[in-house]
Amino acid sequence: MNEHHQKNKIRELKKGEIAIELRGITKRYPGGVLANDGINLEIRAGEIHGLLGENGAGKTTLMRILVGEVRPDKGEIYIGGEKVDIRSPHHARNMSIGMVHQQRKLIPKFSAIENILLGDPATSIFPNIEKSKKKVRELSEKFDFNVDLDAKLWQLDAGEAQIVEILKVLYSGATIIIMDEPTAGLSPVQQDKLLASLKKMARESLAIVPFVTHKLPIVTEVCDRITVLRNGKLINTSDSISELSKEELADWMVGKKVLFDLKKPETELGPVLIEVENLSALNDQGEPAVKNVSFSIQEGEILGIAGVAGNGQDELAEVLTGLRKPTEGRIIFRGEDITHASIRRRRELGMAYRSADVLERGVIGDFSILENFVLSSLYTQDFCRGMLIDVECARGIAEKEFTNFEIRAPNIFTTVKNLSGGNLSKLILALEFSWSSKFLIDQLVTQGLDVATTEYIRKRLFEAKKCWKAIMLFSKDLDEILMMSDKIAPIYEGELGKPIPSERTNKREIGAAIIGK
Amino acid sequence: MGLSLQRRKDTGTKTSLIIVLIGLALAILSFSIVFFTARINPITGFKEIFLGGFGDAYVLQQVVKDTAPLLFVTLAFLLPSRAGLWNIGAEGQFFLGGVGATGIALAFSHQPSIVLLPLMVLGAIACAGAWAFIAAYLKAKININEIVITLFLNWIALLLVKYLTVGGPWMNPEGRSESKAIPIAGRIPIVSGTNIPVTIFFAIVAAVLLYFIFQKTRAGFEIKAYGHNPEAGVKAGINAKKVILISLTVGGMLAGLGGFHQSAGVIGRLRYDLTSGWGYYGILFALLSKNNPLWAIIVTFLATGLLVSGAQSLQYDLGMGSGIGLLFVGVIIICFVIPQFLKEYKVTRK
Repeated sequence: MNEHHQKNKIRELKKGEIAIELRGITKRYPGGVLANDGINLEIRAGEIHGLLGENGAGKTTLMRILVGEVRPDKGEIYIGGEKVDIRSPHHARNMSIGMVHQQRKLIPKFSAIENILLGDPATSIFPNIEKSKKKVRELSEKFDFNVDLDAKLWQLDAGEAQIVEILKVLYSGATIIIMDEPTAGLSPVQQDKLLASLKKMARESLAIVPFVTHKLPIVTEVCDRITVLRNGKLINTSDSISELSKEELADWMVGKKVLFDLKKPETELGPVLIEVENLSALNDQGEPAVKNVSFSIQEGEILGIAGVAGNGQDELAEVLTGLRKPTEGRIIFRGEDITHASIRRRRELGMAYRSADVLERGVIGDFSILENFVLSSLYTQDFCRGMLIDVECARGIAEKEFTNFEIRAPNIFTTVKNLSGGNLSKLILALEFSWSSKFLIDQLVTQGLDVATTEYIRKRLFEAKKCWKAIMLFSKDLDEILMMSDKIAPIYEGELGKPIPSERTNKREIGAAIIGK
Repeated sequence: MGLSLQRRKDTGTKTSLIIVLIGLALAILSFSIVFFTARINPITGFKEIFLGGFGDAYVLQQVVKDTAPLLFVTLAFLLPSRAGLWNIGAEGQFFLGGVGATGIALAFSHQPSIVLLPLMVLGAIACAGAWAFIAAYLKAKININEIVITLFLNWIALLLVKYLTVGGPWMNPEGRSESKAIPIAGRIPIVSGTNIPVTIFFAIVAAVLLYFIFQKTRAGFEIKAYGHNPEAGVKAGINAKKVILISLTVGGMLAGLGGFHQSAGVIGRLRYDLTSGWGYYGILFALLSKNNPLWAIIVTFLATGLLVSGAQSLQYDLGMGSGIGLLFVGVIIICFVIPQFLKEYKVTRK
């Protein structure tokens, strides 16, 4: 069947009819990451269907499959009842699928109308701008959009630029409109306007599919249905958003894990080890990501930071470890003001860090286990402090910890990138506990580990607690946070809640706090 | 549908050997094609290359003499390269080494050797180091691409040398396009019985020293770690700015020593043809020695013989074009680097 026929067919869809259907969509990336695992989904004409999930839940892959940027390994896609194969973004557009990007794909030096016409298949070699403008104006009026079509794009603010993207998609005749984080970067007023327009669009039998991680409550308010993805799987689709309780939604998004018998050791807490006052920092885009955060941790204490990924945890950990500069606030560590201290100084004082991205930042993949021990000891152990590195001494320590932490590899000369995820996780813990660290910032915890390794890591962390080390635990797993931490603080949109003793709170309370309800 | 790359798991020594042999076969094959197109019997061609490189004692001496500056520029690329930085500026740093050495020699021309020569070394190192420091500083402070800056500085260095020697303050009064001669006290002593300046030993010592630094010292480890994974290095407390500043600047200094050798040891003055592309050869030799300073000694010696001296005799004796040397270096790189790449990565369809 030819593409034109299809395009016509989908335009005839009535409200409530299935616009696009996915059956068993599976995508595995080279390297083994299963980004989408048998996803079944139907999206109807005339609905706003929110796709929710954390960073890494598989949203981006699914989105890219829908717009033809990535092809699934398995599974079928039906548009208007016809099985289709979305071969390219161009092809997706011909099948009435439009995409509104979060990182706007527009040209700053072009005017709004030029951007709208650019790349549209209907635009001829000599475009009739006036005629097109008229058409775009009609669309704008219909959906309450207000933007100066002759303004150059760089003159527009974030909200207006997004409207241009939406108009571009509408102008191209799309009926299935995919939106990546539609409210990102918008002011509250712009958000309200946008959501109102989206509702109007849905009334015109368009299918709107926002993909959302941030600002959940705002976006879900206008959704007719929502679907939650987690770890590449579709967890659930809710037909009626209003009936869904907060903790159900939180559960869907971050999941449950098997609880273990492991008991948190009762230790008396020592003096305050680290004190953070009114800390603020920006993210890579220059937007506030850590907002006025204060807390303190005592020796032997575990503070759990609960939150859905992408709410400022990375930035907070980076500011504490010195990888990111704070814009405001103070950090006092072991009595020393380290707000502007070098990473080296922080490590010399005993600050250890397990970052979430293991192979990017945690270890050097091309180096051996031994060399990674040297790396983590560079400023923290005597054998590295002089000009020369005492390799024999390094080898002794590496051998000891290698056995001690039960790392499964042929020997300490094994290249680290060949280790499995669980062994890497253990290795990084061994690296950071092999010297006299006092405080561990742990963003990795038991992420992506099997049951046995999970238990092992937790046991190790508890042992560290018994040795008066303090631990700051970043986890999205509420059960884990509850069982591991002495105190828990929820983080949402960069704001850290007051730390509450874990026996005085529960999953429901934290679950609500981390999605901002 | 596109292609994507996947890292292979560990590869053994056997594959490494096969890779080298494949590279060699490819190189011989491509060289033969070049000879064929020039209507030269490949066997004659290869013979000429070997004779031109290592044929007799005189040629060999010439090759060793040229190995010194080429080893310096090879190390000048190799050191920053271990930190993940591309120093394309050895050419310019080489010139600045010549400027520093000649400048000092002309300014203190009445000093005895024992005073003058060390001062000239310092002058060469300081000028070349400062030249590289410009790029290093811009990279460390505001993350400006070091490739672009070092490359552009090469042209500025060339113009600076032309200014000084062609009609400028240091011009030879006899009016040729060169500086006044460096006084005899400022000439680098030669190894007795040859015409090879002793700087060849400096170069070898520098290579061995670099090897030792990478193997045994904390500074070397910091450079290696930063080069392999800057983020993990920084997380472990390594000062990225320090690594960038030191590795690029010291790299520049090494290239400067090459300029010292050439001006004070070979030519005896500063000239704008002090180096003609040697700085770029260094990049290729460093790649061929896989950034290992000890390998660099051997590779530079062989490559100087075959690809510089040997290729030159193709030009003189068989009448091939003057670009033949660089052509061969390029061919060699492609023949060895691509199989090397395929050893580490597997190409799969998306």
